[in-house]
Amino acid sequence: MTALSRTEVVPNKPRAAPHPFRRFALRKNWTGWLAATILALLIFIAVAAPLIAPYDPLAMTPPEAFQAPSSAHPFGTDEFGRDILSRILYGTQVSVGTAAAVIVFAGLVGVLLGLLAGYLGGFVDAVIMRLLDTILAFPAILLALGLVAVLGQGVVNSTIAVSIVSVPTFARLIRATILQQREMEYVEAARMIGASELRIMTRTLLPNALPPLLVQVAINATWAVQLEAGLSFLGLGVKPPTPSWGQMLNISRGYLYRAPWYGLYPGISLMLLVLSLNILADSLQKYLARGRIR
Amino acid sequence: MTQYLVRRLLQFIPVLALTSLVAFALIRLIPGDPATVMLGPTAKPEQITALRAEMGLDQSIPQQYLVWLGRIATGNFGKSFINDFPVSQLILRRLPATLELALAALVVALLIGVPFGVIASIWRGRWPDHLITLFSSLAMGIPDFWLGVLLVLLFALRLNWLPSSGYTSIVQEPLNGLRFIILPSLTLGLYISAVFARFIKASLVEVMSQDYIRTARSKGLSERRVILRHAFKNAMIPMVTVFALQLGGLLGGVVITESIFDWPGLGRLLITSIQKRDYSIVQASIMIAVLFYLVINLAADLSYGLIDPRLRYRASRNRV
Repeated sequence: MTALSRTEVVPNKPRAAPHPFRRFALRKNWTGWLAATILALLIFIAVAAPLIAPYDPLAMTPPEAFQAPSSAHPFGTDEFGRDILSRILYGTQVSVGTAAAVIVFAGLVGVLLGLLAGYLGGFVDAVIMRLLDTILAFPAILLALGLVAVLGQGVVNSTIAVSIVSVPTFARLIRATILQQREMEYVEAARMIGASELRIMTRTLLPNALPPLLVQVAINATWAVQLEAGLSFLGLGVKPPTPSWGQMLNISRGYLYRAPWYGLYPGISLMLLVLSLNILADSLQKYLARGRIR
Repeated sequence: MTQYLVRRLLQFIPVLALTSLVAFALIRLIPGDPATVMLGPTAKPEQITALRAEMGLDQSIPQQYLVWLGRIATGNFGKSFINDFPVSQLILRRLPATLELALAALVVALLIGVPFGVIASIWRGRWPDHLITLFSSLAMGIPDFWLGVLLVLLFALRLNWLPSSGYTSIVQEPLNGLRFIILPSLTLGLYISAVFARFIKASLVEVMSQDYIRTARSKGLSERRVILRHAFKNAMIPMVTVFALQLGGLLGGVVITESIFDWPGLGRLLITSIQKRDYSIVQASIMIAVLFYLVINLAADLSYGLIDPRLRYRASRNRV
């Protein structure tokens, strides 16, 4: 996973009647549904962590350090005797939460910039796009690292860093769609019946960008998760003692001999989240490319 | 072609200008005065004033920026905040290790990715294809830092075949160096191999449906010859872009891989510099990385035309 290279969604060719998610049929696309189910489960865990975690994720009981997995501690205990299962359940909050925050923040800013660039064109377009190209000129993790170096360590700052890195893909997608659709007859028609520019932008043009935008959301969520975990792994993301999967993986490296199982579970959790987002993005993309899954 | 090259090089300018502004701002954004930060709490006021003059901090901000830019253009990145070494020397010393690792990762990626891609396209829709698809999904979903930990657990701790971390130059001691580089290059290269495999498969499948493949077959050529001599070459053309994109992505990957395996390269230098707040090194690393990234992408676009004469022809007709 040099994962941190960006993937961009190319908007589909304009279609007369875009039919959004009509038949995302279960039996024809079970991997997509499995991925969506796992994702829903992880989101549920993130929300319900305080209710379902068997222990306090921060409660230290040094005598119980490095216990192998048992019925009392299904995933074992860490170097301070904290319950690893509970820490993983709480860690979901960081991964899922960062991804959600990044999508909302980068999505809003990106869509706005893309709309402005695509619709206004000319000078505004040139300025916005050059700025975004500059962000894209950085390898994502390096830019995120640089930003964290300036802003300082912490979950808010790493979220800001990852968000900034994610804005360009959203903006470019929206801009491409707008450029493609701007001269279409239905836009002309909307203008004829006297729709305002704002209305054309938001009500007429934007909905056409939503299906590919959804795929981009899934893709961006994937690398938001990976970037956050990567930053935490490098010791530049979430501050201890707040549990996060990347940070747990990092710490577990110091105890490979004493507790080889330690790093196993945060890694599996992370892979589960990344894989299900990947698969979901793939099947959404296939679905949109063909109009529906066949 | 020359015209195109000049235009592409001109596009570098705004990107590099903005990057340099960001890198420059980096040092100004640290809370407190850089000279005070560098000298530490025990510094005397006259020392601070002297260093401020040496660093040019007593000039106006735009002036400082221009002076700094002039220095960077001549390869002078200043001195490390921590040990007073010239940054360019520190970076040059770390460069070979990173290059070795990146090259080894690419070799791994090609050795796994290319055969997998070809096999998957030949047996498309059958079990070898499904297996390879499964491999790709897993390789792309597994975070590299976890993959690294797993490899260490298995090959270093359980089987005791390879060292868990450290570095020996593969140029100076090939055999010993090889033992050290296997796990890091696998960690870094596995994801790329999956990207290659996917891409080569898609590209080959597309090429195999072309007319000239039918012609080659109807001439009575063996399937092996058709695939290796006729299809493979053409399928590899778009690989150049993918290759370059992955090369750029490697920049990010080395940061994490080097941290896992205590590999004394640029990535570790960057991380330790961020942790120790050695901003002159962070600045230099960012500038170099961006320049490298831009050049690779340009090289990819150019090589496209060099490899495929058809594109060159089309390009000159459209006056690109």
